[in-house]
Amino acid sequence: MKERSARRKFWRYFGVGVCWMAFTSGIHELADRTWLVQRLETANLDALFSGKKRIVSPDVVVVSITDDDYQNVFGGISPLNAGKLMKVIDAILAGNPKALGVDFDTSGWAGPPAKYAGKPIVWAREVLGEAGSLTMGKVLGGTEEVCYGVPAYFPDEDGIVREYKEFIQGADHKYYPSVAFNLVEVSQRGPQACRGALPNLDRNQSSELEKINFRGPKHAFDHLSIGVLRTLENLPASAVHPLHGKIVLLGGAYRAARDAYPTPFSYLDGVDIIANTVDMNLPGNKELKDTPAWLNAVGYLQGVVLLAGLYFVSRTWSLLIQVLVVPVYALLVNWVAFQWAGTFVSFVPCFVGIVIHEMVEHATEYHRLQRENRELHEQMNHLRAAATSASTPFHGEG
Amino acid sequence: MKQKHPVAPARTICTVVCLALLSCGALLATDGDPDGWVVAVGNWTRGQQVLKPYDGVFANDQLRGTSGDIVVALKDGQSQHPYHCDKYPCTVTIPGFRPVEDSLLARLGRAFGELASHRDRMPISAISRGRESLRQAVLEFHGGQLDLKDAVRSINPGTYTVSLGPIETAPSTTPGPLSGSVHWEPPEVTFAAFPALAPGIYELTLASSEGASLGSVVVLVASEADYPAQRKSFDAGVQSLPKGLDQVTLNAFLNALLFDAGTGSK
Repeated sequence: MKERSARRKFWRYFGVGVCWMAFTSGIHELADRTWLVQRLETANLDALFSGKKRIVSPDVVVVSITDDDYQNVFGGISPLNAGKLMKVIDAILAGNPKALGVDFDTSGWAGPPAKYAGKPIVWAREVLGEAGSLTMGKVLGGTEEVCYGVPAYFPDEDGIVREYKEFIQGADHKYYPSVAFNLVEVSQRGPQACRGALPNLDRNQSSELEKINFRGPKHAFDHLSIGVLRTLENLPASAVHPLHGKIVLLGGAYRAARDAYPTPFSYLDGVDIIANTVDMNLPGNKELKDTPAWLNAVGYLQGVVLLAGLYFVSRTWSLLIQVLVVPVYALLVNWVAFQWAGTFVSFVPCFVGIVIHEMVEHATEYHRLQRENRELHEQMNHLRAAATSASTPFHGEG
Repeated sequence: MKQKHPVAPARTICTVVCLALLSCGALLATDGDPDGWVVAVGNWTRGQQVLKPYDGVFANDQLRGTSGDIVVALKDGQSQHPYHCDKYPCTVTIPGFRPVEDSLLARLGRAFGELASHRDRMPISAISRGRESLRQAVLEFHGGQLDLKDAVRSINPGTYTVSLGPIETAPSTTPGPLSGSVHWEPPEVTFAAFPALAPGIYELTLASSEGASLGSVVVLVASEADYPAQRKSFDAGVQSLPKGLDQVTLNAFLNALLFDAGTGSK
């Protein structure tokens, strides 16, 4: 009979606890797109980036036009002289790179230079307008017959760039590839793999916002200035060109370009943000993924086990586990999942549910004890009063 | 004690193999992917190696010089690094520019530190620069049409109002500004119609169809016959200008060159 009562007590505790967990998980799902939760998530993401091992692919190299180059080579005039920019492109192509991304506005050029036909070049194409009605700017004077990509990034509410889209949907309902997407395609399968505007996307292509898996700060990638690139013109035939077989990104790092944006790794030039996006999309490199369903289930299972376990430990230990051990454990598991699998694991809704459940249990028990205490006091007062009246001499008829 | 004997040789072998692999890796890395290379060199050595142009160098390398300078190009996105010694022999260290690899604990500390601290405020410079819509140029006037393409740097396609205020023109020219419009669609359509325009120096002003000014600039309007010579003269002048001029000085020089090109052909 006693054992049965204890079992019933456990199942009552457990059932209510699971309900609390489900309730907080539901609230979390509903609040997922709210400003508050997103701010918490981005703070968490930035912390995860800070603790990351800063290793980047040696196959991605940035050729950047510095302030010195801007003044000395381009005469300090924007937009950059097309002829001089082509000389830079020629110098890069002389190194025989796998693919070259040109992150410069070429809308004012007279047309596509014939000498670059068939070369593995992806030209940046500006996107204009507001979200929902985006139109594509011109590339190489307005031709559609070149390999291009859209270098579009989407700042969060706090103004920091953390997201991009693999494909951008234009106002004409076509899907335009990003620079990073086409650069990876061209580097892997050659210039013919370059995609133009697509009427529909395959199952493995996406036009949704995706988190950029920032690989490292500015100097994590190899950078060559134009001045240094020029020193390679007389490279002996026996030496290996530093751009040979690499994915090269050409962009501006000069102040007048105004192409630097705040990121979790402080300010990065636009070309460096693209380098990070290219690197994360290379085969074998981990992209950031949403939590898989099985991991969510495992997280919930862990919560259930913890809930059951906490029933059998003393109140003091239960409090210690909930306040100290569980938060540290949750943060560590999240960190490990991010570092090694590029994904996020959040046990927080489950644990919050458990904590609320424990608090409610404590409060209920406290009130029950208070009530019992009060009743006990009342009974004692009654008894005391009865005892007092019994000991008093009877003054009846006598 | 018994357990230690079989483990010790295995551990030694492992250590030797690991060290061998590490040294092989280091050698391959040394030869394969340097952090930069020598551009020009006097008598300098890197360890036992006598350096010559295009030899690879690595971050934190100690280079020893006995005479002359050394210029090194690094993959740090900066200009070349020249090193000069006041007294020989001397040693210079190639600067490390890549992020330092931290231990697991340090990275964990950094992650928690990020959560605990507030983000440093990142400054922005609210200043316009580098992307002026107009620039000084020699413009060809032909058959009542003025080609604006050399004066317009980058504006979105659309219809714009063009005004030309005479600064130095032939005395017979109509005084007062001339107005016209252009439907800007480069590279095909870059012309504005001005039936009564005389060659000379003008202040070109461009405004959007809503009236928002895109700025003004001095231009030299050249007839079809004079255009090649005046354009050549102006371009030669631009090329001869010293590098690194600030924008105000550069504008003054470019205006002067336009006046010079305009009067030179008269």
